[in-house]
Amino acid sequence: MYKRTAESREIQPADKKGSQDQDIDPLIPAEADLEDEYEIPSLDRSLLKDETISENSSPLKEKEDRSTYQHILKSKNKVNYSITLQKWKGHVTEIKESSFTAELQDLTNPGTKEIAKFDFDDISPDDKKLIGIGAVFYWSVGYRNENGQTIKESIIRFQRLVDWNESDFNKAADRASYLEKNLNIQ
Amino acid sequence: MKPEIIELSLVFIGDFNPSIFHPSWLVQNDLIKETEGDNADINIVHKNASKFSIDSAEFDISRSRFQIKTARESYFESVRDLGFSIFKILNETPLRGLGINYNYHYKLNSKDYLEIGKRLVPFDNWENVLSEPRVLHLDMWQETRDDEYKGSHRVIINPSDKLEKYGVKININDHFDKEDSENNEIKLIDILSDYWIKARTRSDEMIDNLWKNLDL
Amino acid sequence: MEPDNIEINLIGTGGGYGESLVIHIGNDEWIVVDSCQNPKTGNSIPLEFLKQKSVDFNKVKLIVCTHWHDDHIRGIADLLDKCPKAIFSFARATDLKKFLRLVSIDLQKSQYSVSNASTNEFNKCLDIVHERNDIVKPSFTDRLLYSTTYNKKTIQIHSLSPSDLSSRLFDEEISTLISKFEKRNKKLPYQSPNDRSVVLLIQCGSHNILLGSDLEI
Repeated sequence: MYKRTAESREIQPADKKGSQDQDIDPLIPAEADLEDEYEIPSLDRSLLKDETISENSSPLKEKEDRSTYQHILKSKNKVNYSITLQKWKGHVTEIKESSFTAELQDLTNPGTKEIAKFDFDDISPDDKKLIGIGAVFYWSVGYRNENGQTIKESIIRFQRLVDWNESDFNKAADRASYLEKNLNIQ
Repeated sequence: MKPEIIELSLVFIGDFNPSIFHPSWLVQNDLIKETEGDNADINIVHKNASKFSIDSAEFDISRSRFQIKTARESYFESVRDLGFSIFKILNETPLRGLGINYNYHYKLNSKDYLEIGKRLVPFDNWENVLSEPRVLHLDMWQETRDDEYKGSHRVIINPSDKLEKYGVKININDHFDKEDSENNEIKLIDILSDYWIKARTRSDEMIDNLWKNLDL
Repeated sequence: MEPDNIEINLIGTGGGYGESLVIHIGNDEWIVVDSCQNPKTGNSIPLEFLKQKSVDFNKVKLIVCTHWHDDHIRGIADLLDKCPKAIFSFARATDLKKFLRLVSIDLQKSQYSVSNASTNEFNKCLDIVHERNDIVKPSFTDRLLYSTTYNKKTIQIHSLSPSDLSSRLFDEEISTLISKFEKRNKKLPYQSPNDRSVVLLIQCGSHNILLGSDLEI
């Protein structure tokens, strides 16, 4: 593989038809079309319809010259990422004064369930309000790279999900009614 | 071959109003922590584009494309929950496609970095065309899925944008099209939860098989 | 397998992974009590056992789910699916409608990834029996679940529990769970289901076999 030293993709001019387009926010560069960010010349795009491939939004994209060591070093240091060694999904089963007990499901090496106790101090302040019986959280242990520094991490993050809507509730109720009428229970 | 970095990227195709996607909207709907919202790094929030990052994820939204991405493996499930919740709240949003992408970044040595191109593409065929051919970008696509869903599979190989020299990125794209039936946008969201575990297992399997075949 | 032999096989992986009983009741007929999952293959262990023994799956006559702990239910849907002639039995709920609503709620929760694996498994069983229009026989005190006769010998399988009191207490628990957790994205915290476990009595001529499950009294 070989790394390009200069971007040569086409950038399409924005559509300037009609007076309403004069109100384009100055934050958006006039020559950048934000919807179609790169072309793959050899492929018949009509085959792909709506692409859902991942696109880069890292700071490296705007840089033209990627060949100098200093630039690469600076860019790498901006890249923050983490690798998980072990991950669990837990739910709270018991709450005490300053701790809670949870049942854990190992997501990395699935097997039997585990029971663990966590102190409230292990939980981020914003997540503390989410602690409750049945509340679900993720616990992952691994390493993080932040600005070039490797840091061990153990993160507990409570699940935040939208509440059910009417449709969810109705689906459950409909299924229950249907089963009650149609199961051959003797 | 063990990756240095694994990224998750969820991409929705549909019709969006980027201006509503702001960290404060996520906080308001209790989808992220308040402090996460307060510390968000906002690039732009505009009717045509919205781009910002929070601790757990990066958002990149245009009128037809919604991407939420993270390189922090500890937050993969949270990103899934975010994607799921956003389109449950905005259940009127017309969605046409969903892509579950895993990007694997590998650090190779100089020899393997050159060699991988040769294994992926037969360099013999470039004799008398290019004197020193190199692979810049490889895009492999399968038109139909191997399961009951409508969509496609795609694998894209590029130099890594996250690793310094000799880094290779392999993007495994699991693409789902809307089904031609009622409530198709709800079905795409259902796929996100139903297929979640399989998406990662399948991606890992594909990557393992690719490295096995490349025999580097 | 000698047709006259009654053979009880206790199988499982230990270490909290689960256990199951696969019982030959004579005349090449089998019953299975509970199921557990092979952690390596993800397959139902009683199913693997029956395959190993080259058992005709049509000869599996009864599958009992004694209670809903994960270690007693994983893989039971696959097992039921492969055994087309098996009667499915589980602990009775007095208010069936409410019970079905609870399991349907938990199934809906799976979309939000906060469901219980055991209820997911149970829901799959309900789908299977409904599709096949099979008979479902809820277990309770002194209920005959299955009977067979061969060589002038009668073999009967009775459930001895749950009691009326246990069933009633479970009904109350269901009401509380529905009102507290129905619409919220939290996992349904079932109280220990051990006190609702199905205890089985196998009678074969002059022999009686009592299978206590995890019943706590």
